[in-house]
Amino acid sequence: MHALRARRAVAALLVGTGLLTLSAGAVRHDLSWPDSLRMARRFWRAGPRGRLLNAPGIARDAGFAAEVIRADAIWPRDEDVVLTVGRELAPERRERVRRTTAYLLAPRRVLLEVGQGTELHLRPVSAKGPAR
Amino acid sequence: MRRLPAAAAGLLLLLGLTSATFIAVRQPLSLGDYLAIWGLKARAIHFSGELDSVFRVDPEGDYSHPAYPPLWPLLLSGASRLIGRYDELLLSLVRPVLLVFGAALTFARTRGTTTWRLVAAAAFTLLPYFQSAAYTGYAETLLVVLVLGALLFLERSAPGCRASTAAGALLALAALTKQEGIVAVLVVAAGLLLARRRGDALRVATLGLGLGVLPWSLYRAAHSVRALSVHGASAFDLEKPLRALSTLATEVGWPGLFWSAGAVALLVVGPVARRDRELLLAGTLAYAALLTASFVFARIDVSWYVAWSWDRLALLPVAALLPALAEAAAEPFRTGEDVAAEGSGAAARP
Repeated sequence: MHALRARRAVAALLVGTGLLTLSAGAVRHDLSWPDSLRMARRFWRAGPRGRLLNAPGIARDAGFAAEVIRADAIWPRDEDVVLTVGRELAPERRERVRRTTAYLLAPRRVLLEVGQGTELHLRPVSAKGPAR
Repeated sequence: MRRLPAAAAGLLLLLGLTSATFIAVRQPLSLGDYLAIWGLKARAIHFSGELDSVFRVDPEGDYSHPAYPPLWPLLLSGASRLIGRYDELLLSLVRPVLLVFGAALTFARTRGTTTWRLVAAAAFTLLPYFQSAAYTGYAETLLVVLVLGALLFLERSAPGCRASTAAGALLALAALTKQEGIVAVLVVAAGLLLARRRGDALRVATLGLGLGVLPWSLYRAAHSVRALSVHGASAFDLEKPLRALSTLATEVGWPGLFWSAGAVALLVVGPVARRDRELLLAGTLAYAALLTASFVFARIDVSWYVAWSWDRLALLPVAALLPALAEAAAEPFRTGEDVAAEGSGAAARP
């Protein structure tokens, strides 16, 4: 009888502690609940373009992303695109811009070209590149 | 008296579902691997209408892993067709739907009273993977749902040809979702062989590999896309799994040790559940061992690889084990009434 009680106590303790710990993660988010709600309201009220530009991962280069979205609407989908990124841009930013551009311009292929300084430039493959 | 724990478990399930849903739908899908891999491919398929566009968007395979299986991007682009446009916010609804399926499957797989089945389902929804905004567009939720579905069929009290066929088909879809699905096919087939269910093992292996691995491998080969950019025979190094385990120990730390010790302690207080579920436990360990061993062939820095992916790789084995842990915890509380209510089916289960 004592052994059964001990097993029950251990099981209850472990399950209770486990569920409480897991529940804490569900109650405490990365943002406070009011901030989370504000964020949700902002996105659900915005149009598709505004949402995309403000989405995490894209918002950090929103200005350039807006240009890419404009290009996406105009350029033919079957033409590859050349992305010129200046050699002085931080490698992390260069890679982020490259991935964001590929995402926004899919299914086009985005070819990478190293440019001058901190320039960030986009053109269809058929267009002539800037003189170097 | 019995209603209180059931109500508490139900409330926890509701908390898990509500919180995970809110996190999933509060912002568009556009972080990390979603943007670089899954979403990129889903958009490519959606806007081109062609599956091979997933190879064109990143021909050098620098970041999008062209060899990864295509089911998750196909599901996202299919959902976009239903919605009428590719909208990252509306697509965020897919994960809560899958989460409900996962919770229902966990509930169904758990043997015991409603309370303990609710406890297992609640624990599933409360797992950190679902309570984080970081992984909302990732493929693991689909993978987990498919594997849990397969396990449900195989764990039935009287599994037959149809059950193993359904399980094989689900595991084929799992293999088409993520490469870990292939490991799941192999482990499940080996487990069935160990349980002397040769026919079931053959069906699972044939369907899983024949429908889940072979077609995509041939399609990939036809487009000259090599198997996996992050793994390769030339990178073979026996020290890498040790490095992986060392990094894992650092990443997981004391909390990981406590969780593991807690799981072991639960299995100690529930010896019957441990015996009933020994095949599942062995399969989970084998799955984890195979994933660790796969680091032998890692082309990229193993420490970075483990730090980047361990929590996602751990999701499937943890989710698979939850019913066994709930059953072990329930065991000391079982009464004669419970046993009668559950019927005699449990004894016949593998």
